[in-house]
Amino acid sequence: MVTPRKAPSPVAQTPQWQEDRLLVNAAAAGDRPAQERLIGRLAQRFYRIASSMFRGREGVDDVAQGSLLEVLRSAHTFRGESSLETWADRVAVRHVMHAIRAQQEDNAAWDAVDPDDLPHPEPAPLTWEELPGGLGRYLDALTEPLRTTLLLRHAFGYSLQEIAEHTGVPVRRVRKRLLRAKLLFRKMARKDQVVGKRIKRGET
Amino acid sequence: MSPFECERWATISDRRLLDEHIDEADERFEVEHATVCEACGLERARWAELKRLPAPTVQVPSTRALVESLRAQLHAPHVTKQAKWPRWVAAGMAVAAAASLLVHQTRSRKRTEVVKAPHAEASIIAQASAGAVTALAEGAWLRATDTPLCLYMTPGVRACLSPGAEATLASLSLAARRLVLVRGHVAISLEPQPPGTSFTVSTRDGDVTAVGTLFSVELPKDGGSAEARVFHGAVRLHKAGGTEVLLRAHQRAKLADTLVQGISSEDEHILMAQARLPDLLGKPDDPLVQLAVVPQIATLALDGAIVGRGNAALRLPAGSHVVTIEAPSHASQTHTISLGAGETIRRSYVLTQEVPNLAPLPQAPRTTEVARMPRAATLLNEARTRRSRGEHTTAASLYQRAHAAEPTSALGCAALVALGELQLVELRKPEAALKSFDQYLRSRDQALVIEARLGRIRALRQLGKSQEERQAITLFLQQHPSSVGVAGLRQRLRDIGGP
Repeated sequence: MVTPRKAPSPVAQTPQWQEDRLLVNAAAAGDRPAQERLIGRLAQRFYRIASSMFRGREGVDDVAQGSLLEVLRSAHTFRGESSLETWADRVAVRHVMHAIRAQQEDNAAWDAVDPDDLPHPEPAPLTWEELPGGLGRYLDALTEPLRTTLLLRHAFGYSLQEIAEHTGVPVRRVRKRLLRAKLLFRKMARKDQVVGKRIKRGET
Repeated sequence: MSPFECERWATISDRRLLDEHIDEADERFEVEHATVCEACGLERARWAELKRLPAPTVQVPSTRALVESLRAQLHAPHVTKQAKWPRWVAAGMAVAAAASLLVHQTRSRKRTEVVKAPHAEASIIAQASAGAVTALAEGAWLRATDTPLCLYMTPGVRACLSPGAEATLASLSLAARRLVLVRGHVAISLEPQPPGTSFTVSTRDGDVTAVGTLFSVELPKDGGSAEARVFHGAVRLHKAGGTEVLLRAHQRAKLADTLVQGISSEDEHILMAQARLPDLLGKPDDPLVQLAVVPQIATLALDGAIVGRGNAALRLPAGSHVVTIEAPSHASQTHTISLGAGETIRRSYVLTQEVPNLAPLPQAPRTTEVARMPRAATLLNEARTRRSRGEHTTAASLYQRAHAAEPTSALGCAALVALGELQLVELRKPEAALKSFDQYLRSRDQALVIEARLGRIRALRQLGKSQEERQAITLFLQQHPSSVGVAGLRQRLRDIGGP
């Protein structure tokens, strides 16, 4: 029986893909210059991922480095079915999620408690110099399940099903969390706009 | 702008987030509205910003420092759990451990009447980097690769496996704690032990049971008999076959013949340097010090005793400790660390290069040539792996090939020093080692000149060439007067009739 050959993905046909494959293969083989180029390309992004998802916890540096280490360890698994950055993002997210779970002493936030029942402290009002408010401030104001769900969907493009698998909750709860997180995020962004305008007009 | 339009825009945006169908009219509205409505336009900009993620909350280290650190972690010693070993190795080890336990239990029954002894707890107290797993279970396999791996067993037993050593924690029963040494060297330090407890290091040639405080056991790589050395206190040797001998301070004996010999003062000086580390370490609940060094070849010394090369995570008693870091062609650094109870301290030390390395650097490879990167790196990597597996002849051949592949590059030259070490320590070929070190010293690379000169001194000593050794030590002391370990060399120089 002849198995029909799978058509290469659009990414796999680009010269960039060829270069990325060579780079990752060399890094996987322990080649130092290749590892340096790979890490140089991913470090900023990985620190951003760790800072966003591991917010409010100690050890962002360790988690970011752990993610980079994971990339080196699993470099041999890179098949080039997606871009290098997309593949690396997934490796990093998997590692950070694992670290979050490992650090979680109380799993109630993931399993039992409805996110609507968890407190959502509003961030303190900004001064004029601070406007527009940093995104980190909005993320800080979200509870961890909401923040993680929002980031997985919006920043990393995970499907609802994939988020459900990563966070261990049903898809319907993922939808609920997403809508809740988006509403809170929107409220904060719009409030900052209104407050900012008032401050600008000298009303407060 | 009508609030209803903003609400419609928000609803479409939410549906997009949930992967719901959006018709053409809604899509057009979504784009048009965001361009005319300031509030929705700004919100859209915020969402786009979130896609790029906020700036890191911690400083991102330099790529070089990161790669150094990651490579060290890739090759760090690890507490081996079942998944880390190939199945056939794991199965073999399990059988060996079970057999060892069986033999041990039979012996224990003969010696004592203890049936249900309370168990000790064991934890890692020093390794290359702080890992998540520190508590050790009975049967755990331990392997130190490039840095010593030290563990603490209650009450008051510290054991440090030297790089390349492997052991299993065969029993944590307080009445008969037992470490089975499979390969390499282990140094043991004991605090005064409560009655009814014992601690034994088992080897294929017999057992060494602690009576006193500081001793070491080494299994030579050439297949020779295991040797026990005692620096303080005493140990009981049980030859595999039955003979029992008491070995006291400043004595050594091969387990195969249990013939007791004295340790000469010059040998003791060197052997003690290997065995001193466990004496300096703390307990599992003592402060944790995580030290990261750049470059990774830097030698780390703690309170005057060499810990090893590269990063280290150590449990140390509270108080002040002196850390010295030095690397060839770099300015040495000495720092005092003050530790309070329960503290975790992280320090990164980046040594600055003293003299620029004038050796030509390999040209940066073009992207398309990445797959054909310098072969020396790959060969060196393979050599390290083979060496850690005990395949020393293969490793030596790989080091030679690495040098032949790139005779002028820094990596190719470094292979010579690694080869010299291997020939000297594992293959017991001091003459060949001397040639390798000399060949390195003739090269233009200067990065490992201290290591090469020290290797040369040791090779000369093994060859019994005292006059040349004197000259080599004198030269070393002149060239590197502040290097770690010069006190030992001065002593050695006096012992062999130097100034």
